[in-house]
Amino acid sequence: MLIPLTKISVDAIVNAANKNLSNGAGVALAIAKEAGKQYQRECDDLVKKNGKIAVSKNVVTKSHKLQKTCKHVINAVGPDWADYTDKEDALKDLALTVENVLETAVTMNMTSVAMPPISSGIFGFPKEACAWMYSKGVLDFTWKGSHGQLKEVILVDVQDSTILDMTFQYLSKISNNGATIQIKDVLKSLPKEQPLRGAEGGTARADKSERKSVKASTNTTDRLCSHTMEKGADIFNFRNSVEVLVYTADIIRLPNVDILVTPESRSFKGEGILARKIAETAGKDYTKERRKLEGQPRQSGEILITIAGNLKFQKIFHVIMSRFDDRGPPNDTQLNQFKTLIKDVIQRANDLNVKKTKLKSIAMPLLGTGHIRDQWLLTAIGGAVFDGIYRYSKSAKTSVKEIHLVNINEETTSAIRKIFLSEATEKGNLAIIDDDDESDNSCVVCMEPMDQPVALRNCGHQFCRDCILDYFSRKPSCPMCNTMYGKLYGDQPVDATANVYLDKSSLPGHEGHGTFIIDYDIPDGRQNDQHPNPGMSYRGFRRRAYLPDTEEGQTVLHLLREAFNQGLIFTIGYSRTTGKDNVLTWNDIHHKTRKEGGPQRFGYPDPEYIPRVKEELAAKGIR
Amino acid sequence: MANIAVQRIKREFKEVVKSDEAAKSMIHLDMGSSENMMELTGTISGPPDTPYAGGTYILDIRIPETYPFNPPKVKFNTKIWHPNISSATGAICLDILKDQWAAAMTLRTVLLSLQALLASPEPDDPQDAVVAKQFKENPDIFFQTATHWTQAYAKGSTPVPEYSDKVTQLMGMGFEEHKARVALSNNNWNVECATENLLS
Ligand SMILES: [Zn+2]
Ligand SMILES: [Zn+2]
Repeated sequence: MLIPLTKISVDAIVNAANKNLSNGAGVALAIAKEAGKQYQRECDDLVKKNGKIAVSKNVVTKSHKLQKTCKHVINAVGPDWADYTDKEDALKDLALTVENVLETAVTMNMTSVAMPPISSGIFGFPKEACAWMYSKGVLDFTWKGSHGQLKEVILVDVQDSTILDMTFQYLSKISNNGATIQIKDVLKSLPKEQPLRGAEGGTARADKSERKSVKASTNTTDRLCSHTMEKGADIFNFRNSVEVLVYTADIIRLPNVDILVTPESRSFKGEGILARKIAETAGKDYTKERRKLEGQPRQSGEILITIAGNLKFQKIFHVIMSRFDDRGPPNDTQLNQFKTLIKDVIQRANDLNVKKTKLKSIAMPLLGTGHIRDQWLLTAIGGAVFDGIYRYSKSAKTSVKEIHLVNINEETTSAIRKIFLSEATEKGNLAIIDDDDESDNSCVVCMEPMDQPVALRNCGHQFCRDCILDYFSRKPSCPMCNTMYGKLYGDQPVDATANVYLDKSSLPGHEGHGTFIIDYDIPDGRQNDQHPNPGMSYRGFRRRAYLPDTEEGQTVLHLLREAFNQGLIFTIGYSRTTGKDNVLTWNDIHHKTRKEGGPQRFGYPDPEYIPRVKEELAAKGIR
Repeated sequence: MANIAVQRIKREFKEVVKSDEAAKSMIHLDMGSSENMMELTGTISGPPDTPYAGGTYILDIRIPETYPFNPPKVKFNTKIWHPNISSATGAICLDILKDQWAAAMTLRTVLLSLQALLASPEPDDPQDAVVAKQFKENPDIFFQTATHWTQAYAKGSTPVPEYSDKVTQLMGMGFEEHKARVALSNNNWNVECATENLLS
């Protein structure tokens, strides 16, 4: 679209900024003029407070006078072509810049973003290079798991449409054949007569460490898990060796799958819903073979194999297992056994292939769940299925290539999809690095030489694969720089409740506005595995907190709700106020527990409170 | 303790022992008596040009089983007057010991960060509200009080005669030395208020 960036209507427009957000030229100047002095002040304050913005990163500001156009401005710092002796790095950084912008849009729940060609102006990128990296950034992003609310990315240019046309051309070419854009190829394709400023000798002004880290993050050959959609199924690719398809269907009627997995209790009487359906349709031969196996109790974890009779499968795997019940959360041992079971089932099919049989695909429902609707439990079980498959995908020879997770109701399917997406985003953040590449580095987690190194997607820091997965299972952030790669879940007691009321009275400093009253109630309980001293009991308590019913207050309330749902408001440990250990206590997200008295007495007025609590929430990835 | 934790602590222990800072005896790390390395004792010296100069501070360090995924638990064993350290329990308010912890940090960086915290308190994020208030409102009294505590508890060598006298005065009235010092410090060295406080 050939319209001025500041004249469209989206959630955010992207500013092609520089490290200092000084907005002195090109798109940046145009935006700064339109958005007004307040906008520039916010930019200056941000830089003063947090320092310069690194290349490929971005910061979000309000839109100020541009309110009619957008709510936010994403100020993105693209690479300066002249700063790079190795132009390959320049290209990578630009693609990363685009990708990071889209990532930010997702985190901020935006639905539409308008973006100019970053780095094409005074940052001197050749137009082709710009268009290619635009395309790559968008493609790499669409290829990733979670797109949040983001529906629309509008590419705009005020000057001419050359870059846009090229981008469009590249994107339609590439996305049709499913390939990815290789930076090396782009580099070769660039016209030679382009003015490569600073090409010889180069002025590598940019920070070295920054450069190195960015390089690592794009130097990828393989991902641990990725997500795509095709013909109504969500497809999760594990390490390029196994594909998991998630969809809704009547499992016993699947036409092209080799193995059907069905759960059975230890009595092996064919009592489950699926077992009964199979018995009804599979026919005499099947019943005959099954009879031979009946009549004796079985062990949990046993896998009995029969023919499929009239059904279109080659084999049926009857898996002996106990059901999860929804009276309480499954414990770690149970979940671990379940993970092993999932892996064993697939592995068993794999082993059969050593003898002549050729079994390539397996279909299973969400095993062991029956009619469970409890979200928390489904999440735990779905996560265990994911881990089980992931474990299988790590084994050397995977001849079973397709796993169909099929459910009769869409509700369960969408629950699995959600779980897999979040797991895949977590694992999708890791990129496997060529082993010979800088393998003499040691991993900061174990302090040993790196074993099967992987790099994190956004910050590029490298670790042993097992180290980082272990770390992510506790906290989804980079062990080096704390960049968040997912949601952080706290150890707040699961039976805590929170209720919010709106009161007409006003808080000091917020006259004319009502007051939100938040009532937290946490019953007495015992510490569990996540807490410092499992088994030890703690006293519960009730707490009341106050927030003004202003725009800011509503934002904070919304964030607090998210934090509460992620178990981050309370924790068990050392209390700053009482000096006691092993007690239920606030978890570094401050609340105003009194209406009055000022900051000294945890009350209002306190003009610094709202920004401070926002920072505290942001430190836990809630923003 | 998990293997990775033991392995790390061993390496980190060496890192501290070999460090330049240890050579200049600014920081020090001790295995303590525990065999499993779960509990260590750290020592930092008070930075120069601060009320803590000349003092030696002993720290209790507990390594959680989940180390280095979770931060070590550190608290001051030596009593200290500082806005971010509880004068009663020695508990520390420092972001890297909480949610800003990153596995890339080590015991050496923790010790150095604590030393830096002594040099630059952050009264806006206090652990000890009374100390923080004094730091903000009566910086001179704060400086003297901290110096006095350094001499009293951390083997510091700069005396604050006026404060020592007041402590002795209260002790003469039958109050225990530490309690007297706390009461006086909490009340900006106003003897009357401190006495009232002790009697209430
Ligand atoms: Zn490692
Ligand atoms: Zn990082």
